[in-house]
Amino acid sequence: MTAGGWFFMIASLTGVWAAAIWSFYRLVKAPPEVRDDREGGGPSPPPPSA
Amino acid sequence: MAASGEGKSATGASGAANAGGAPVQRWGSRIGVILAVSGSAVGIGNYLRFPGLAAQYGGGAFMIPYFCALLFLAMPVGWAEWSMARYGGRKGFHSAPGIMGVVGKGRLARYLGSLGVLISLIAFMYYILVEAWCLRYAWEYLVGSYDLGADPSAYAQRSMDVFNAYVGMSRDGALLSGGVSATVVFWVIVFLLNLGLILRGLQGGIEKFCSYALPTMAILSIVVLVRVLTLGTPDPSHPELNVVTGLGYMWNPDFSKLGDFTTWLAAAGQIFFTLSVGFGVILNYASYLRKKDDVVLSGLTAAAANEVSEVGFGGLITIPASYVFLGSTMVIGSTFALGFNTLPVVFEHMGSAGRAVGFSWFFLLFLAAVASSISMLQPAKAFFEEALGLSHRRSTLMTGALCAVGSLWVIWFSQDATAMATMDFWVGNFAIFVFATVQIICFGWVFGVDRGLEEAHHGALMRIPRIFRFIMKYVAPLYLLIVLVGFCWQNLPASARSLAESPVAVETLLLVAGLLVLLLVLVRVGERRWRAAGMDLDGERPPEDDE
Repeated sequence: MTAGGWFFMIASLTGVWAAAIWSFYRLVKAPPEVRDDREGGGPSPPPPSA
Repeated sequence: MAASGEGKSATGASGAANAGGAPVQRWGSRIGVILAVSGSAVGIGNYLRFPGLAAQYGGGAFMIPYFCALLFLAMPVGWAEWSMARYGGRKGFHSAPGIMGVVGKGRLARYLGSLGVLISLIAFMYYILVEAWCLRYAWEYLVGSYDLGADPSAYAQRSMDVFNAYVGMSRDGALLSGGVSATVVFWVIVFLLNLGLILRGLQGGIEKFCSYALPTMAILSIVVLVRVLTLGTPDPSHPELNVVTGLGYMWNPDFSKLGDFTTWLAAAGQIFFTLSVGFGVILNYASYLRKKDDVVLSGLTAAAANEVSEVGFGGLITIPASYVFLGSTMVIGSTFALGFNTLPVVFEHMGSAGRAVGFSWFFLLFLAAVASSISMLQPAKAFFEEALGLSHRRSTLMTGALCAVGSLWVIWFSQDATAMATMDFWVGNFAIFVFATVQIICFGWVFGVDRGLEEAHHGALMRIPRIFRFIMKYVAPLYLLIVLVGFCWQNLPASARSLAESPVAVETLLLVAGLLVLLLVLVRVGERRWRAAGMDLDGERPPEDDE
């Protein structure tokens, strides 16, 4: 395998894995979803700390 | 993540009604819709079509036009689809005609939206058959009945003969006459499986399946990848055939290919099909989101997950494994040649481990195919529901009946896979480019790119970079038009010749046209229903949840 081959392989793999890990991390760190205040689904439950 | 709330059925239906009067279904969680969209995107092409194209069009250098197409074409169109879908969903529409009518502000866009139903419906008709092949191969590896004989020099020919027999390549009706072929039995199984998953609804069917299937696919991919990367030099008499040279065959750049327009066209086509943009699937899936749900990061995450599967696994498994055993004599040719002719020969060369690797590989392809095919049923099901006011069950059965007829057509006209190839070219390629062009023009120029980006940013967990305003309005439509013209210039003459020479190709195209006419009539029927129900089908008012 040539140096160019290694470069493109490693750069491509790094790029796609980094994008996937970064975006999943952002999703996990995002505020939790609130699902029950929609479609007239009734009152919100108390927050976990209440 | 969120759980189903009170008052929701097993299908995930909430209290509100859609344009057809049926209860609106919802995704169970943020990650659920991402897994479903990723499942729709990750398909057989990730593992077979991408590596074949890359090896053919410049190796590592192929990644330059590939990532350009991802950045300037697929991501803008993808984000536009997610945003338009959620906007249409907030107005009670979950099918491409309804959503396009709202975003495109009128009848023309609504009728063009029927392409978003046609594409996935037709694609299902032939894709389900490929899914059946994958299950048949997986089953035969599992029970040990797949056998290429004892003579290694005859493996390639035997592999081709087996595949041709399994798909009935020799003559029309080969799979149905003189006793039913096992392929048809597997087709019935996968057809019922797909229909059953759709009947179980968004949460209970699609989301649940994808939540199990995608992790399983990741594990199977890792198992096969580890085996391939540890192959070393299997034949000491051929030290040049080893894993590293195999990776080199796939990744060594050939920059001369970048001067060829065909390479750029192939990259654009691949990135488009792999992300399921222009299919009508994202339009449907994202329409079940609500105003506060993120679409920007979700769209990016689904695309990134697909790219990991395609580049991270597909780019490291298929070609290197084939090269290690077969050298440059391997048959790349087409997706099917690589997957069903070449790889079984590779597994045969692996000896005792070949059976387990072969099963893992084809079961992985089967799971990937199911996650994609269920997404192809859902847009049509949603359209029949809202255009005709059918219940979830009836619209699913109507979708299934149409697909069964079309799929049996493909099974019967199996000689040289003419019916399948015709559908794939005109619908799975040509119509996708057309529909994607319609969508990005509606988003950027009719709905308005600023309004579109504002819509995308409701509830967004990240912002779309400012540069994409310019890309979505000018670059992506122009890029798409160039790709569409280039695609026509490159393929239409050969396709026209094929139509002139093959009555089956003409009849298949007539079948597609007939289905399109039916969908257009149903759009008309739906229009009357929606107008009578007082719905804002031309997008003249803001959504009710806007205040």
